[in-house]
Amino acid sequence: MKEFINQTDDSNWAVGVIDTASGYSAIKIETDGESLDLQDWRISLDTSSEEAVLERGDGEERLVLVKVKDTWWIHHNGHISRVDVVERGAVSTFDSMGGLTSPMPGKILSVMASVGEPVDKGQTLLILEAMKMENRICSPVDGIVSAIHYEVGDQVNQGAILIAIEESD
Amino acid sequence: MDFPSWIADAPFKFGKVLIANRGEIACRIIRGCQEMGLATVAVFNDADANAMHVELADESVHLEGDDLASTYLSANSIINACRISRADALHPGYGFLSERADFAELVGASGIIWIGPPSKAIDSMGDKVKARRLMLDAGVPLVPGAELTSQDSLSDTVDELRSLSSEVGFPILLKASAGGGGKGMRSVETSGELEAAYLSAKREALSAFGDDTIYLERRIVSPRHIEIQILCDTHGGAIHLLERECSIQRRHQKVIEEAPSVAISVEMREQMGEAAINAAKAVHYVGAGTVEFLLSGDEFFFLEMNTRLQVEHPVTELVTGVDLVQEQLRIAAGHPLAISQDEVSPRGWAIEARIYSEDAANGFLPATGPLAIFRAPEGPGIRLDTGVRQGDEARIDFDPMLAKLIVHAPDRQRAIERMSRALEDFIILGVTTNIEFLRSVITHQKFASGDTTTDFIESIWSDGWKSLGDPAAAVIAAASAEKAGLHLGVLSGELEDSPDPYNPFSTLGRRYP
Repeated sequence: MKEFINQTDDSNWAVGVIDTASGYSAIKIETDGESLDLQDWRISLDTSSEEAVLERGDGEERLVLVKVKDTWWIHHNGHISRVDVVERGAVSTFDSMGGLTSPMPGKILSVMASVGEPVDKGQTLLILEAMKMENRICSPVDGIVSAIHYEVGDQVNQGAILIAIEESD
Repeated sequence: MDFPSWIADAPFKFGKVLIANRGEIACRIIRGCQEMGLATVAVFNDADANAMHVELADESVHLEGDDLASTYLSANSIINACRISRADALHPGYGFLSERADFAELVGASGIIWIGPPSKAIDSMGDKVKARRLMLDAGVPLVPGAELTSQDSLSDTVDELRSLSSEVGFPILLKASAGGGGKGMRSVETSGELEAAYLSAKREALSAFGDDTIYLERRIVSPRHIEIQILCDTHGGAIHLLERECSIQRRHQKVIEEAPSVAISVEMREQMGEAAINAAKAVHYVGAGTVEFLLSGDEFFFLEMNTRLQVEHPVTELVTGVDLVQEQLRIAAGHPLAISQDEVSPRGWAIEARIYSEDAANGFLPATGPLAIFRAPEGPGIRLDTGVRQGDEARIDFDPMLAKLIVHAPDRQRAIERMSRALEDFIILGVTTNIEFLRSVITHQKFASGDTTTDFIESIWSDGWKSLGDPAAAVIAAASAEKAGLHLGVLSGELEDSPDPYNPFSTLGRRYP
């Protein structure tokens, strides 16, 4: 079964969907181990407009969605969600050990941490130049730097793992 | 050549304008020219071969080269493009070559009419240090600041920085003399941070402007950013077109702008307008320009003058009814200003939101990706200035601004409501944008009450901003669409029902693998 990771809050979902006469309906939905009862929700889809209509309770809500690579982008009431589709058993593109990935392609201007160094959440670890701006890449957690994969002057791609941090307890 | 009638007996005639720019501003200028009967020429590099500005222009010239320096930033390539297309006038837009005095000079020397200020005015105002000296002489109020005597030896410079900083008073701002857009600018709270901030500012200034001269200014705490739009003709006529407030900024770049400003009384508008006109006259300005001020309480200080059309010019156009691009064209042709100061008054309220491809939940880092869906809002009082459409891509090599959404309404409250609705209806999928964040700003109580200062964003979202979505709805929609095969351009049910391979609903769907 496919799993869905909502990037907004990093929540992991297992969803079973069945095709009914009135649209698609969830048969099983779990998030982080907890089951949710959403079986009275109905989704109908329109390929030409890339729209979905969600019926729940007494109203209809319109969503616009499109898939780019392995990610569904969903617009709903002015909010954007990104939902990654992951085959169960496949390796996630995210490094679960706290690897810090490059948010965009760019060039490493400065590395401000070293392997074995304790770092605080929010501390600047390196500076990446992209779109003619210097962008500070900060630690998302308190922890210890376990690896640095690039040097000053290196070009990096979006999603490249820059630094690995072991999170402190 | 046949000239349109408005220019047929003007002192400086032109019939074909080359726009040395790209994106939304190139599109906006092309439309302004076309309405006035002028032919237009776009320029483009390899990546922009199918760009919107190329499609809109009457003709286009390819700029050969692998990077910006050899294409949009290459004075020689642009002049050559004018020759190839026989353009007799050039509009630089903003950014790129727009504030390069030597380029303005070269354009004129090549017999092409430059739709912009004289090169000397660009030069005087482009060098922020020189501009400060001129403004002091013209009696325009300045932010306290200081210049470094020499920047040759690092240790001497740091010593001098320390002593000047304590004279000027912390917190201070290190700024690039050639600067703009927040590039090459660093805020420093204590003496210990000076050296690192200085080096970083210098490095960024060198890469962005090719000039790493740095000066310092006192950082006015929690100011408003107010700027005055001015227009000057070649006959000595000069008017101001009221103020814009651009206090809502992130990383020192404007995000939301409005006109007029809640903070400006009629008297203060007159004072600032007069100061702005004095500033322009001090450099013998011609054309459209903007004089930027910081407002703290009821005191205002000259910040800089931008010698070009600004990104946020549409809010002024909407509240004054003056088309700034068309005024630039008329002034370049040598016509006197068509309106007098008395005829300029604010009508209603306008707000602009800059749509950036960036991640507001992650330090506003620029984002890249395809514009898999791009659906703009519509309705009364809504203007969209865009240079992209669905199917285009937000790329790393250009500024992350995709479009500008501008609304106009009878008063500020209704302008806010209109902007909020328009942002909610604006759908861009495939690349992360700041649209949802902009709505958080526009619907915030502090924005509604007009409590807008340049630290608005960092003070409200000091721990960062987060999207408030409905995760369950998004996941169910994604799971249903995944099962149905929505991304394959056809629903699994339709496959069985309609074997017709020419089903239009199958071919309309687009995939972005």
